[in-house]
Amino acid sequence: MKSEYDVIFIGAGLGGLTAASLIAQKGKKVLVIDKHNIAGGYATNFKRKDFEFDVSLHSFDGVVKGGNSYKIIEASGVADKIEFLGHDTLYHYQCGDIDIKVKHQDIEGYKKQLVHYFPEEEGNIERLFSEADKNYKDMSGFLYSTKRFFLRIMATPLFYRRILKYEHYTVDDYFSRYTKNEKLKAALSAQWSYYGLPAKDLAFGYFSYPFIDYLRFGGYSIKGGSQKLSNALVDTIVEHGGEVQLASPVTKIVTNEKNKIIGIESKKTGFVRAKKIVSNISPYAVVSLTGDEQFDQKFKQNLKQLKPSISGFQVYLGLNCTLDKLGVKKDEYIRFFSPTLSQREQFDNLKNGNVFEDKTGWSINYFSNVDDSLVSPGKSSLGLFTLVGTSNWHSLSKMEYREKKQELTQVLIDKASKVLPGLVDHIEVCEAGTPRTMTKFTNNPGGAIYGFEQNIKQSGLFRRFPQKYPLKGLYQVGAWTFPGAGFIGTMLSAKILVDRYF
Amino acid sequence: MTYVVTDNCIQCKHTECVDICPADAFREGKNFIVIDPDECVDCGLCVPECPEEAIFAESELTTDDEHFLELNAELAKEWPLILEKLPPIEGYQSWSGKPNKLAHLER
Repeated sequence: MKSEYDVIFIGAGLGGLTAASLIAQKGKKVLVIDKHNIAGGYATNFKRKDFEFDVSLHSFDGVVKGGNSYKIIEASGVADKIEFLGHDTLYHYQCGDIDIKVKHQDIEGYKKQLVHYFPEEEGNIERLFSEADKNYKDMSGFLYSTKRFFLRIMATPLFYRRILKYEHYTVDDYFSRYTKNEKLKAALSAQWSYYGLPAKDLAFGYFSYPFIDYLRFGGYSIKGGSQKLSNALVDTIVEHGGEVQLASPVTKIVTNEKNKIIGIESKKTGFVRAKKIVSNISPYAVVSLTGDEQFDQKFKQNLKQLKPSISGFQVYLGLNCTLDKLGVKKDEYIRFFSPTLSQREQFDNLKNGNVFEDKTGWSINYFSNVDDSLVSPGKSSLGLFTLVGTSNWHSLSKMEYREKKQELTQVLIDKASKVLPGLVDHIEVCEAGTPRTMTKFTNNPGGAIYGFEQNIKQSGLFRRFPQKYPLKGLYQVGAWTFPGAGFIGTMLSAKILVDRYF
Repeated sequence: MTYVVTDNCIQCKHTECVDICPADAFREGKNFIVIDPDECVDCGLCVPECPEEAIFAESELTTDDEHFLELNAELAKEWPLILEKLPPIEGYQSWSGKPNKLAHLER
């Protein structure tokens, strides 16, 4: 441990680790400090018996050599340390009579399936994707430009104009320019649970990059789980002279009388000096660590009005048989079930915890179909996932909490059993992550899994919670800030932060 | 692997660790709590919670503390489950940070 660093990162999540790696590679002395004893935030693994589970990753968009999203993997110095495994099936979507299997890097095949169900919409589908592709080019152009940041902003109205054009669009607004068909619009936003909001509320600007990135470049897992990515980032930081201090909760962000950042305090390290601090924890935690009085009214008022995202509930199952034995084909990976057409109705039910009837969307991830290194030979693993509201979890007594967790676990297993008869006879390991679990590990309020909700008021370059605080030397990275949540979102937020301020 | 409660807990027993444990692995005695190694899932969440810094990963135990691994396993078989946080032992302040409290352990 040194007594002074150029930059200290609070929180070893994907955003913090990526930014620390980018800055360490520039020769700066960095320290990453986290309360947990494992690096990665939501990008971690856990073990139960001989099963290893990836905590949060369902699908990492576009991380293939030559693809746009791979650039951030290369820039963060981990490209030769990790391996990505493509998903043969990007996803399998079912809603009423619609049954669509989207194949790996097969946008044309996907369009054909849409045309099969909506033949009268063929022209509209073509135009919708043609413009979405152009928008993706504008987005990528902006995000991966090597020009200085202010030049990029200046160039936006000319070269990346769709970023501004669709700034106020929801996903539904965008689709509605081309079609009135609600079924088609629901199918197009089949992955909406990845973004935590129904298409009618979700910001198109945030959704539009991964939307095309998934279809054109594919979805991926990280071989050995996302812990491998987090560990690889830690290695790169250390190789470049940086340090990662785990199991050390920061107790204070220290400022001087001029309102400038001068360092942090933790029980383990004592006072450590740095003129720049990057938060990879929630902005609420930043305010409480720094002291409420350090922030002006306008900032606090603004923070009060922002809405954190929804949380999630995932059941992790280790099975004593292969997936093949349950009738799951080797090329299957993720299945989205949407029992009703209205995403908003589903969302309202999810938010209020009404997930017990068959009224809300949920999904299955066949983890070991993509990565069998996570299980022993002859065994398999899968995940059952639903979004779930943040309330009604944190105030329960431990006994009530245990019951609720058990109850919801059973609901998801019952749903899955209808798709996979015989499932219950093969469960060797069953674990569940709840909104309360998310908070335990990350301190995120309510167990929010996507930072601030990605509605149009809270997304986009000019509306997302800023990367720079009103206090000199204090910055934000990760899901809470621009562009937003997700593996690629948080890694991109690190790139933008460093391009802009470091 | 498991996590292990050591000497510093004895006569203090803040029980901050109990609330955060996702595996309900803590067992309660009169003036000490232990972790059931069969239940512990190695998440390590309890470590920074303990105000007395009494909890360590098995692999990080000092030679002097190694016997606590066995003691935790043994007492976990006898003691009841604790699920809710309780107030610390009255007068814990006078015991906090004192070394070698094992002689005071009430079984």
